[in-house]
Parts: sequence; structure tokens; C-alpha cells
Amino acid sequence: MKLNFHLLKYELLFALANKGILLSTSFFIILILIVGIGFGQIGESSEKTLLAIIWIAISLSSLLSIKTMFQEDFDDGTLDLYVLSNTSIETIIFIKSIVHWITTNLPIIILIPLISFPLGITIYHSILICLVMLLSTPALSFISTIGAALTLGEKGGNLLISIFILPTFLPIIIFGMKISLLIANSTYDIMAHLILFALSLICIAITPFITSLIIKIHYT
Amino acid sequence: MIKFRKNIWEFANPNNFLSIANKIVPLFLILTIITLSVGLVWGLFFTPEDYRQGSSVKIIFIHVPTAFLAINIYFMMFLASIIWLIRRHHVSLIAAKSAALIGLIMTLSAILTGAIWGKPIWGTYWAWDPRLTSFAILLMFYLGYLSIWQAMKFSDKIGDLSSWLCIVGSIFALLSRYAVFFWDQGLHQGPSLSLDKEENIDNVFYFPLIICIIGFVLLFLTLLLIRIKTEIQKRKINILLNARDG
Amino acid sequence: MLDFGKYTFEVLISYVGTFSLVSIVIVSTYFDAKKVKKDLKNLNIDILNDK
Repeated sequence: MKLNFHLLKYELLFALANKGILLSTSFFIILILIVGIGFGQIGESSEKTLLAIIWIAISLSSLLSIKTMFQEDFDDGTLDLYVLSNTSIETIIFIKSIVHWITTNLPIIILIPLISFPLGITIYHSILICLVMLLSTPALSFISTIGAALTLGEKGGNLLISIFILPTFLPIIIFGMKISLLIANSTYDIMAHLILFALSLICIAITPFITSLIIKIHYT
Repeated sequence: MIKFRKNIWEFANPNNFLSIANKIVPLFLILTIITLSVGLVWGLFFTPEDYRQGSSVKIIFIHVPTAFLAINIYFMMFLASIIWLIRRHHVSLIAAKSAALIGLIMTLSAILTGAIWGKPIWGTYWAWDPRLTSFAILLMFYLGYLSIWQAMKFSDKIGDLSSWLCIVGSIFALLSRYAVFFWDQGLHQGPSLSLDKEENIDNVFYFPLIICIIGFVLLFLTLLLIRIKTEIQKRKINILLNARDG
Repeated sequence: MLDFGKYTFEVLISYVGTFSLVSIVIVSTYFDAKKVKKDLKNLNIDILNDK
């Protein structure tokens, strides 16, 4: 347990030192503005399109630094030690995904009310959407570890990760967008919320095991 | 003749598989040609017009078989990937790999014929209807599976990776399908065929449709067998080259 | 002969489209099989010559 805590601290410090937060937030802001300006040119800037843009931007930016998650450890041999050591890889993958979520998705979610307020979503709605995202985006980080594990040691890995992983975000994106739409219309569907959180929790529970199985393939 | 074998896993030996495939392929080829031509000619020329959809109903004889195959080929790839991961039979992995391209083409033609059919009946080529969306989802997972084979060289490791990709893909394809259906039942008509007879379409269309489906399945099996044969021979060439060059 | 009333064009284009899509697989399968067969034959001859 103590070891895991140390690992969490180390990974967090490492990610912060790499300025991952700055990169992911600026990518998010630029993506939102570019798509917003593009939609503005064709006179389409309703609350609905903004919601769709936010969801797509957050799913794209959670793929940002995923390639480096295992690649650096794979290259310098740390991952070999993890595989050989007593600690389960599942725990390490769990910690790494949590750190990835804290450094890429959490700052973005905090930014969303600040961005969406001037663009036309009311503060109350944007805070509700933030809460929905807070509970559902960890699944995105966890799912994308599968892609990182699949493309370990590949040169053109980033493109492959987006091809493999973006389709698997669909259940979360579909439910997230529909719930955001309901929130924007000031209606609530408790069933939909529960299913979204259940999906998110299932992903969090299962993906570390799948990812560890895939990582072990590279060591047989 | 094919002699009696103790269990199904003996087909997993590439040599056994090749010897049987060589005998079966010509038979399947003839059967495919007969059933497809009978089914399609019957469907095209000897079926009446639907009272509501007019003659556009004749598209059903390729739309339903291709859609049926598109879903079931992915399911077959899923089973083959599991068999590869558990029992390490190379023919199974090769079967999954060879089926992917045929599945992609079947998905594309189901979408194409559906779009052509949708224009006169619904007034639009494409709508984000749940059934149509699930085919778009299926298309994405086929593309992902094919791209892992395109990007990396054939080896057992890539076989493992692609099998896991297929399994993860099927789980998420199923989840996405139910996520789409949760919100909307859509404008697509219900399933044309089911085991309980009440929902089925009229007998006039039913029999040629069944023949067409059998024809398309036979076409898939023939193509699959030939592709598996080719793939086994490719691996043989690789092994021989490695042995010769050291 | 190929006249299906109001929707002739739709019916014909969907049949032709599907057949052209399917023929992509058929043609690629056929030529792949042919090429590999030839390669294997040549390789076997080469190996026999080496011996």
C-alpha cells in the first residue's frame, strides 16, 4: 500500500514536471475555439452544438498523452521490473490511469464553466454538466490505456491509438451528450445518469485487467 | 474421402485443414453459384411488387443477407479470436484475419443498399437512426481490426494483440449498440426474419430471401476458405525463406 | 426486360453496387491465391536446386 502511494506521488510529480496540464488545457481551449469559430461562420452556435463540441474535445484530449504512458517505462526497462516484481501490474495501471485523468481531464473539467459561460451556457447548467463529466470521464482515461498497451513499441502508435480507441468511447459519449442535452433542456432522467455511471464504473473495474493481459503479451 | 475424425480440433492442424479445404472449395463454389443465381433471379424477376414500397422491395434480397453477414462475421471473428487466445490454433487466428475484409465489404454494401432503399421510402439517404448508427459503429470496429493487421507484420504477438482488439471491440460495439437503442427505437422496420413465424414477411418474399441468405453465406465460406488457404501458404513461404536464409 | 416500374434505377444501382463491392474481395482473393501459389512453387524449385 505504501509502495502504491509512493508510485502515485512519483507519477503525479513526473506528469506535473512534464507540463502535461498546460498542454492538455491549451489543446482543449484551442480545439473548442477552432470548432466554435468554424460553426460560427455557418451561423450555427446554439447551446446544443457547444455541448457536442465540449464532449468531442474532451474525448480527443484524453488521448493526448496516452502514448507516453507505458512507452517511456517500456523503453527504459521500468515496465520489465514492474512485470517481474511482486506488485500487480493491474495496480500500476490503475495508478497510471488515475494520474492521467488528474493531469489531463480534471483541469479541463474545471475549465469548462469558465469557457462555456461566455459562449452561452448558463452557469448552473455548466456546473451540472461538469458533475456528469467528473463521474464519466475517468472511464475515458481507463479505456485509452488499452490502446496504449496495444501499440507498445510501435512507431506510428499515436494514429493507431485513435483508430482503436475513439470508437470505444462511443457508449460514454452517447450517454454523456444525451444527458447534457437533457440538462440544457432542464429535464432530468435519473435512469440515464445511473446507466452512465454504471458504464463508467464497469470500465474502471475491467480495463486494468485487460490492459495487464495485453502488456504481458509483450513479455512472452 | 474425408475420413472420420475424433474431434473438431483436428481441423486446427493446418495440413488437415488444407487437405479438407481443397476438397470442399470446388463443391462450395458450385453451390454458391447455383443458390445465388437462383435466389437473385427469383427475387428480381419472379416476385410481385409490394403494395406500399413498390418494386424497391427487391433490394431486400441483397440488403438483408449482407447485413446478416456483416453482424455474424464480426461474431465469428470474436469466437475465432477467443479460440486463438485459449487453444492457440493458428487456423483460427488466420480465419479471423481473413474474414475481416469480407466483413467490411458486407457492412459497406449493407449500408449502401440501405441508403439507396431509404431515399424513396424515408426520403433520405442517411438518418441517425439506431440501426443505421449501429452499422456505422460496426464499420469503425472493422476498420480498427483491419488497421492493426495493416500496420504491423504478421507474428504470434500481433495475433494476440489483434485478438484482444477484436474482443474489446465486440464488447464496446455491443455496449454502443444498446446505448443507441436506449434513447430511440428509430424509423427502421423491425427484423425481417425471426424464428417465431408471426413477425415474418410474406411467403412470396420469404423463400427467395432465405435462398439468397444461404447463397451469401456460402459465398462467404468459399471466399474465407480460399483466403485461409492463401494465408497458410504465405506463412509456409515465410518459414521456408527463414529456414533457407538462416 | 430490366424494368421494375418506378424504382428501376434504385434496384439496379443497388445490385450493381453490391456486386462491384463483392467483386473487390473476389478479385483480390483470386489474385492473392494465384500469386502465393506461384511463389510457393518457385521457392520449392529453388530449394530443390540448392540441394
